[in-house]
Amino acid sequence: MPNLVTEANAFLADFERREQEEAGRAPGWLLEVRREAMRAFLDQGFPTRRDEEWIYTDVTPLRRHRFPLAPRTSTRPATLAPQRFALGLDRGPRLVFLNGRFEPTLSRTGALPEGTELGPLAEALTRTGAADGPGAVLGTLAAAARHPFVALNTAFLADGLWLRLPPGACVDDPIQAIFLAEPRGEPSAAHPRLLLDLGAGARAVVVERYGLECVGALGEVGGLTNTVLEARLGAGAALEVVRVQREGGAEHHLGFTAARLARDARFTQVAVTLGGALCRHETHVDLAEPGAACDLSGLYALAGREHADHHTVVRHAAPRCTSRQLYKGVLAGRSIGAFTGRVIVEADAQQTAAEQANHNLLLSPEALAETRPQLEIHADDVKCSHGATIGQLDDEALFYLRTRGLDAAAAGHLLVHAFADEVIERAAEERVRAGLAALLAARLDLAPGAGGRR
Amino acid sequence: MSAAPAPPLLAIENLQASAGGKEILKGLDLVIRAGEVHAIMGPNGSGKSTLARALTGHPSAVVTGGRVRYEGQDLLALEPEARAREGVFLAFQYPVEIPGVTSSTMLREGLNAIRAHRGEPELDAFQFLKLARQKADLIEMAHDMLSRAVNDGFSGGEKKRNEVLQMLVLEPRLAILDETDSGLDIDALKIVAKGVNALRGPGRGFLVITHYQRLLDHIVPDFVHVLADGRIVHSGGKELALELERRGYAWLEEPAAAPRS
Ligand SMILES: Nc1ncnc2c1ncn2[C@@H]1O[C@H](COP(=O)(O)OP(=O)(O)O)[C@@H](O)[C@H]1O
Ligand SMILES: [Mg+2]
Repeated sequence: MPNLVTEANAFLADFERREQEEAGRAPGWLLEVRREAMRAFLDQGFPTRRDEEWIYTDVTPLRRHRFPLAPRTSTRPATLAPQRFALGLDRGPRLVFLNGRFEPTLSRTGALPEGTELGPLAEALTRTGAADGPGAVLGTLAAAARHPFVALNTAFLADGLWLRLPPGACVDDPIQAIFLAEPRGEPSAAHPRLLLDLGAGARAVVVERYGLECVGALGEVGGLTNTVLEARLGAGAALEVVRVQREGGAEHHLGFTAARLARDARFTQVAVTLGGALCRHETHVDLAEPGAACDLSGLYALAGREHADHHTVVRHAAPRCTSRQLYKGVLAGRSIGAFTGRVIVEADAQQTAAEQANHNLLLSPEALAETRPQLEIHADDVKCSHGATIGQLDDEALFYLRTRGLDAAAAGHLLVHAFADEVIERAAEERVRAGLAALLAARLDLAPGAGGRR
Repeated sequence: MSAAPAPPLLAIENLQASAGGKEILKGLDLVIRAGEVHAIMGPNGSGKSTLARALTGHPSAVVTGGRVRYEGQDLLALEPEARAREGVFLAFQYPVEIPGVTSSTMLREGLNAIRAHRGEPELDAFQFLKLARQKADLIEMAHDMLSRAVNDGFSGGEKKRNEVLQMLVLEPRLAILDETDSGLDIDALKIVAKGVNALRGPGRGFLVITHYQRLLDHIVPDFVHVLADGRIVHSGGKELALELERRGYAWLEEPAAAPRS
């Protein structure tokens, strides 16, 4: 325990230093939220694998390093190329953040429906109070008191995405939020926050992209990106979040996504995790009112000694809600992919339909897939299904393709893409799907053993 | 000066192979020259598919002896894809279903790999589609089959026809057809035969494995062989197929008692 306090104290020292630097600039209510969160983090400390929620992921690497806050702004935004991270989206709103801070010179918002608020969170927070604007969403779905890394994110809350759509507003082009880590020689931390507030009947697609911009030969230094997204969906609203994580094989990434759905709202998430030393993404969906629906899908493609842990919690709290989950892992090298999917059906939630599947493709005998469905059903009129598989590339299919002239690697790639496509297909936007397929192809080329003969 | 005679397309000498730990091919000899169509008939379990798998490099057919030369080179030393690129094709007895991979993707990648091996330029998506559609027309196949996943949810007949389509697109020099006729009605059979006959020519050889004589009414073979107990026990012309149809295989099971034809 004393050890733990020291580790947490490393973050505390940073916290205090920043508070002094920013004295007088942040509104008082926000300072109080951050202080409260810092206390919550110190109270909870780092989770260990003895915690039920963390049995697959050991956060020791995070305890060992000190991650000072990343430098405030880039020295060279002009030379950065955010279009590399744009998934082929050449138009539509794009907000770029470097080391967690908004970079206006690389960003644009364009024409938006009347009454829409879209912009950097830092600015929105200074304009509003604790109970309106982003202040009214912040911490309502992701509670610092209940999650150490949400607490840490909140304690260091600085910037991120703020989107409010008034009732009925539709943004046609995907809204891109691109978060780039730009290491400067030592591992550092960024804590982006995304707050989305969709009025009744509003519609939007948000592409949430995490990447690494390396400075020259520095390469990957193993920093920490710790994100929180909170989305509030009004009645009949529809939100699709396409989340793409690929900072690099040495990086640590923690993500927490929480959505609350009012009557007949729908939330779709396509989470693509392309690896890092330690990746963890939690998705918490609250189907709070009748007729709400969520479709969560995930694809993780890992190699080397990468580790990714996906955790979903879907709470059916009202009648006639549906949830669908499909998570797929492609695991090469000695990578580890874990999935825990919890579905809670409360007593009132009659006529619930909940479906969950986790399928894993092991490309090497040393790769490991862990899967854990957790169903807690308290209603009786419920249709729930879950399934999990762990398999390898089909040898007969590989042979068949090779007799048609494809070499073993090309045949393997085709089969892996076929496996992954089911997830990619769930993104509504054609350009996004093409972008995701290209990312996966690039990822597979990096993964020795993908499609190779075993 | 006279040039050395071209080596046969395929020369199998004393081929021995096992499958599932059991000795299946027990010294098989067969020579196919370019331009010839050879039919192999034989009872179930006699090793016909094992032969096809050994020739295409399937790991379940373990070659334990003998040799196979293809256009003079050691075929058995090549990886399956290298055999395909050299012009060997197998129409599978049981074509594999590959959900999520469309026929056109597979065929275009395969064809371009084969063309690259021959030093020919790759075909782009449009050129490929044009070619593939022409071939599909030849065997009265709907074009949308090309954009469907390979054999996924196909009927038995559709799968067999798809094998023939692939053969037409890849234009092999040695085509092995493993019971491509089984499960086909007479109309489908005629269409399959049409596809094979379209490819027939002086530069190509065929090894047609079949159970029934009726296919050979439409693909008229130059030679018919009977495979029994891992060996070719009898060879003859196309009329041998008719005789087998009439008399069955029993009279051949003991080679010593077999009449010469
Ligand atoms: N992979 C395998 N494992 C075990 N036995 C096999 C395998 N492949 C073929 N066999 C056996 O080898 C024999 C020949 O099979 P096959 O070549 O498929 O015969 P045919 O095609 O002439 O009907 C059969 O007895 C079959 O059961
Ligand atoms: Mg057979």
